[in-house]
Amino acid sequence: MNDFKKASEDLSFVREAITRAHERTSPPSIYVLWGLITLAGMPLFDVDPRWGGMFFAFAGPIGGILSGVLGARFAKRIGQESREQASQHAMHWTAMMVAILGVVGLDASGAIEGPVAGRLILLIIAFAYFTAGLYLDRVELWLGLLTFACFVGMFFVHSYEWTITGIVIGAGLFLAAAFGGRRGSTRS
Amino acid sequence: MARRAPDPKQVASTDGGGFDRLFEHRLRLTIAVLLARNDRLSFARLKDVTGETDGNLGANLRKLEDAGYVAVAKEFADRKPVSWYSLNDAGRVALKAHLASLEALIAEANKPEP
Repeated sequence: MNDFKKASEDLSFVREAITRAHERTSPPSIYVLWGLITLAGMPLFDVDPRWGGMFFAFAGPIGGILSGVLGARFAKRIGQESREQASQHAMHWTAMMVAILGVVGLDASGAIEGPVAGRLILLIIAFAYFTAGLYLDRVELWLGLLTFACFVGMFFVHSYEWTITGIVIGAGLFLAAAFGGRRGSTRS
Repeated sequence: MARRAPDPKQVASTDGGGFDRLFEHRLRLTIAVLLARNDRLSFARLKDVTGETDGNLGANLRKLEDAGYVAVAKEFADRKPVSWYSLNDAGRVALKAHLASLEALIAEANKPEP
């Protein structure tokens, strides 16, 4: 076996291990958390958009903090800790929240109307999930596509559109929790 | 427990071509690359992603530890002992040099023949 062939085979072995190590970096519990928040909060927009706004004004940041805690516990439980990866996740989702706040600001200032703001926020969430799926957790790519489909659906559904969106995305999040990638070792 | 000094006979050295003899074993190379990409990994996690047996993984981790490339910290989780491994500075330098040599080898092999 010459040096080149050995090197290639060794690198394939390394590559496979790296792939296995990054099959899932977010715990299922985070998807369950956001599934519950989505199911509870989105239908409120069909009742009264202000209620939905207030709900997510609290649930969003609290959910974000809880997600960080769950992520850190998961990393310790599966035995793989990386501050770089943790900060990638934190920066990504914080950036999404900042973008959403920007749209909320536009709505509050009257620059855009409430229904438009809601759809823009849904589009931001779809984009955030999709890009997260590219470099964080692959399952989120599908969540991004699902959320985008809901965004498109809003142009055609004019009754209980937020309730339907909440159920669809919530179901997607629960499916991601159940089936999205390997769970990692449960041994510590 | 005092950590024993690395055995000089087991300390890795390059073979003149820039390759580190320790990393010529694919499992040790894999361990080093995984540790370079993370702050630390537990023994169980390394076993999970490499698919190796306890004995083989343990033996190779010990070789890396004896060479001063890897540090081990023992903690308890749910009253069970957990060994956490991380790559030392010496390990990072050695890995970087070894990977550079690998890259050069592959680039040389891919050059079109004159």
